[in-house]
Amino acid sequence: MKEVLKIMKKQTISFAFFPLLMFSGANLMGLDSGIDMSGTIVRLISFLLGVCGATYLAAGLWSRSEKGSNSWKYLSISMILFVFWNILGAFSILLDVLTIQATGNEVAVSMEALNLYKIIVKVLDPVIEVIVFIILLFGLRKIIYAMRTKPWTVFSKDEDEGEAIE
Amino acid sequence: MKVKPLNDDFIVVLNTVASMIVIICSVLSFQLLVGISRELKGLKTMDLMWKNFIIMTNLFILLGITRAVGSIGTIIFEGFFPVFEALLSVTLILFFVFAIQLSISIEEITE
Repeated sequence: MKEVLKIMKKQTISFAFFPLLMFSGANLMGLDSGIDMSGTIVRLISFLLGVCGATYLAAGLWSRSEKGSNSWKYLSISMILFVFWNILGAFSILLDVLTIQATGNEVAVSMEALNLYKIIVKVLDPVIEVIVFIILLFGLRKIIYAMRTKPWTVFSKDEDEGEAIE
Repeated sequence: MKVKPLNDDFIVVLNTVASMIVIICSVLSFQLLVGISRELKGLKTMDLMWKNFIIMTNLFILLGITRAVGSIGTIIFEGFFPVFEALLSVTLILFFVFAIQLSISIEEITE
């Protein structure tokens, strides 16, 4: 009976640490091919979470801008571009992994194509980043201007603005 | 078609210029955010939406600064790369949480 209990205890402990063992295994597996798997997975997950959060927020801000001030639209556009920036980040991780695997001839993608994609990502990444932050700056300026001059227009449509559109 | 490898110097210059613009924009945005929170201080009960908005925008600015400082720091010393990547990941996860919170509070106001 004692033996059975001992075995059961051992199995429970090993089961409890199974996720950790799995992660360490993944990491070792990655290191064999020259990739830090856990770091890559965390980066990929954070980029995907960034895509989800920014998309949801962009939708919320856009609906807010339709019922209130147009200044929310700037922030919404900034968030949409931020989504693209995150997608580029996730894509660059994919390219890094593919490049490492392509050196070991495990992937049927030509190195020339990979280099071309890498160049496109490297050029687009800082460009999108700059546009995102410039639009954010303009959006915040518009919001603070509206708050100081016509605070009621922040959450509701200005009548003059509505007439001007008509 | 043979792809000519792009000059690495061009990428370095592009990244540095972009990082500088992002740092300037982030600092100016932070100043505006301080202005917004000052405007809101007049209100006795600060709305939950504005609180989330300020936290989310602060995280967004922090994200930009981390990315910009990271890309300049990596040019100087490549050993910084994993540190900045880890910081970027943590900030992105926090950004996700507050972006969801903010959009929920915006939805409540819109309804």
